[in-house]
Amino acid sequence: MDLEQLEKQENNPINVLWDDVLMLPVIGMVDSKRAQDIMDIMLEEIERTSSQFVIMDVRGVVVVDSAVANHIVKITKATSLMGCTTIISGITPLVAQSLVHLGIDLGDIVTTARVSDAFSLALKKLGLSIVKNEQS
Amino acid sequence: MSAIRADSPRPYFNLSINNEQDVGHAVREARSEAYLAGFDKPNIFKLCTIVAELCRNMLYHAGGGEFVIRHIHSGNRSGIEIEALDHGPGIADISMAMQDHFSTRGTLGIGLPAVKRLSDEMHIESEPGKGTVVKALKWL
Ligand SMILES: Nc1ncnc2c1ncn2[C@@H]1O[C@H](COP(=O)(O)OP(=O)(O)OP(=O)(O)O)[C@@H](O)[C@H]1O
Ligand SMILES: [Mg+2]
Repeated sequence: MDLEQLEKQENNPINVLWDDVLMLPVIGMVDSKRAQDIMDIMLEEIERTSSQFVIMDVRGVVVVDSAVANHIVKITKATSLMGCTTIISGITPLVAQSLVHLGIDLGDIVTTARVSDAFSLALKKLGLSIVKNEQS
Repeated sequence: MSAIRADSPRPYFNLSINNEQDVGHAVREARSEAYLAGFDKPNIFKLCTIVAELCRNMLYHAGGGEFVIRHIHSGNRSGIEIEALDHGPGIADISMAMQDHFSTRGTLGIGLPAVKRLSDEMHIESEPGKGTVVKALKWL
């Protein structure tokens, strides 16, 4: 593995949350190189794990402008070509407002406020549910 | 627009924008200046979005430019002014460029109209072949 690949992985720590469900937190500024790295990492990991869902959490993104929105749309399209649905979580009221001001329609892209909402949505679509143990 | 020139504002922070790292730097500076000026979180976020749009426009359409943040005061109001100045090709038709979904680069074409919606006042001057100056202002 080369240094660039190593840094790419360090900066974009993608996790397997459950069988078939990946999660990548995105923190800081997203420029076009970063967006490309995120896309590479996601596609590699989707291929390796044959996951059906990838959650991209954008709560820590410093600014969601038209370029970032563009990247999100592109990444989502790419994963769907691999049969994997991207759920964008971390759409806080701030981010939602910003998208409205930008006039961006995320269209069919599934978004949630919290990572946990995205995770339960993915589980539901996979026909899984979390149950509380009977009190013994 | 008179408010923008109300008193000769002292540049508070300026930066050359030549690559995407510079855009990130500009956004972070704008964020801390907006915070110091007393803006709330939603408006800090809006100012950061304005800065990102204007700096990326300079980078992609003009090959780079200068970015300035000023604290401004007019009467009992204060605010922050963002200026993006470049010596690129200029904008041939500003009213077209201000429309949603107009882009000469094949991207979304929503940057400038979004800046208009996100700011309280916005002003563009451009001369083909000479360059472009965009100012956007937000009152506290
Ligand atoms: N600094 C500039 N110098 C020259 N032309 C510019 C500049 N800023 C904007 N333009 C012109 O105005 C058009 C509209 O700008 P706007 O930011 O709205 O859209 P965009 O940059 O093309 O796409 P987006 O911002 O959605 O990625 C641009 O396509 C470009 O032709
Ligand atoms: Mg733009």
